[in-house]
Amino acid sequence: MSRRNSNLVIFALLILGSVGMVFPFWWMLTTSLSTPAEATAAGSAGTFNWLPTHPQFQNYPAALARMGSRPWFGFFDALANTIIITALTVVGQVLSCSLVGYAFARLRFRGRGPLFILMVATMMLPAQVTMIPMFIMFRSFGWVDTYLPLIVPAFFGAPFFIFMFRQFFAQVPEALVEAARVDGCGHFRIWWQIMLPICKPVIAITAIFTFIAAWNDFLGPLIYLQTEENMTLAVALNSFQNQYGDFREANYLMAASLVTMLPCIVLFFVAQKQFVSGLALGGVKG
Amino acid sequence: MLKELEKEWTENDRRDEVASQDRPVPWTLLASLAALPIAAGLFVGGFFWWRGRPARGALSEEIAGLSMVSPWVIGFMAFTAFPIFLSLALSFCRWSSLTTLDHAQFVGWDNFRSLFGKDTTFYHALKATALYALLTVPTGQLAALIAAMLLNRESKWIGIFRSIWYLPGVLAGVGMSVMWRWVFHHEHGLFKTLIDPMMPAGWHFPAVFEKDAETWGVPAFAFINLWTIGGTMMIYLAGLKGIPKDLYEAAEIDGALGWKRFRNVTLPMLSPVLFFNFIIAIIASFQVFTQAYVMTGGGPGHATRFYVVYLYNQAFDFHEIGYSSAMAWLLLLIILGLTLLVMKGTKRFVYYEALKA
Repeated sequence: MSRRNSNLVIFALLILGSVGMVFPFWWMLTTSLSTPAEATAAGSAGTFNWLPTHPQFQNYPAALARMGSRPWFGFFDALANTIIITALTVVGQVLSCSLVGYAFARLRFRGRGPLFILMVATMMLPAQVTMIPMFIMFRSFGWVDTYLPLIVPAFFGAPFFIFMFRQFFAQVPEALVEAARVDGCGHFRIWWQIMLPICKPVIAITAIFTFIAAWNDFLGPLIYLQTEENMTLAVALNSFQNQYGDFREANYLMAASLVTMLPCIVLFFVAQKQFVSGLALGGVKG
Repeated sequence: MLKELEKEWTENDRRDEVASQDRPVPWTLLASLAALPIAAGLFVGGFFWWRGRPARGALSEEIAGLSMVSPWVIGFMAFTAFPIFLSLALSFCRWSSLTTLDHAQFVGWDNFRSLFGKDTTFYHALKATALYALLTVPTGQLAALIAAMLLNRESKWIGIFRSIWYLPGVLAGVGMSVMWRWVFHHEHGLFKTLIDPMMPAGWHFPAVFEKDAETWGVPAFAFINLWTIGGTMMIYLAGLKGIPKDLYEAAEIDGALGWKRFRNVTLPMLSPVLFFNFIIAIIASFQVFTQAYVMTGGGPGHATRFYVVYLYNQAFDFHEIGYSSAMAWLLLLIILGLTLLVMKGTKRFVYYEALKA
């Protein structure tokens, strides 16, 4: 096979794979813009709507208004809760992981090695083992149905991101730190004023991955949040789909699902570069 | 559905009847037994730390270092170490979380005995999860590796393909699960619409999450998993890019092309990454929850009741904290065992020198 031909084959495979990847999402989009009759007629008639002939944009406000028991409140409560929880989780994760990562990378203290090994070992631990006792613990604090069980642990660092910060800080030239130390800068100030500003790439990666994980988290909010006003979008969407579980109004379901995905899609396209570099950094060296 | 399961569970509770004997868990004794060595350790450790303390400059660095790692250390104590031991203690108890902790009854190995002997639902859950792992780990890794190899070339269009293949992985959550339910819908779903006309007369695309779930439910979840290979694919891609070009040139001079080149250059050089990805994939496959909970809730019957779904049912629907803690510990042991098995089994094949290249 000539080089040109093999290139063509590879290109064809790439396109085929991409079509397969996008296809369900495209169908989701067309369903969300169809009338209920169009959406459910597809199967029985053996016809397929590649493009909605009359896009029903009003499906979107109609779907969101239907979430929860009070029109619009269900959606906006959930949106606000998700934003608050996600934002605070991101802040907590970046602050704690960078601080701990800096100490592991640059400061000499006895016990550093064993502690670091212990931390790496906990990465393998399945979350289900700690999930139940943590629920009991947080319940005894009276934290059930508040944001706290979802936010507070983020302020105590996560091994994976601590590891990433440590790898980055270990490569910072000593001269930079030395100069600050001669000027009488304390270790906390070095972290805050010198280290944090130069590790923007790692901060970006940590923030993005934490954002995605927190935004999509389902099990945590499912366990801890109980009243409708405190639900996150993931849990609210699940109640919504249970309510319309027979898919007689699939167009509304798809519209609501797409809206909850939208922030992650936007973030992905805005921060594509960080995504790519982050996976390379975290994955291969991990 | 859940009601039936709960009724079944409460009616023929499969654990031995020890509750009538009233053997309360000696929490105070347990707490003091745990507290004593911790206090002694802290005291002895503190003493030796202070005695061997470094000179002034280094001391301030040591204090700064210890206080900076303290968030993680405290978090580890509160959110990992303590919960693990509480979970272990609870796995030998029978306790409904509707009551207070002092109602917990010590039942010895009963929970584990029931898991292995009497609870058929658990057996279903274990079987479904093992099948899921068996299907999803090889297919997911193979797809990710092929995708990475296709993407491993210079072209201005590659970035677009990479984004398209990676994006769905970022969206994995409730929204995507709702989408898949609709795609697999037994009447109006995408596959039904698209594939049914192509099937020979009398054949139909299976209702994977309804009447044909016993056969097709778990494979369908493994299929869905192919849309979330993006992260794994990127790790493979980075691994492929890290293979030095001169190795390929040398192989070309020796006349090794195609499969031979893949077998003798790419595979050994990629083996640490392969190993890493396989372990991660095995661990993740045993923890599958969100998709199944959102799409089928474990049903119909127990067809898609994966391990963690059943664990959730026991802990948060039936409030059986002891029993579900036993399940959680067993999951930990299964994952640990599988990881060690893979480590031992692949020792010969993983070429760690590749990491230094």
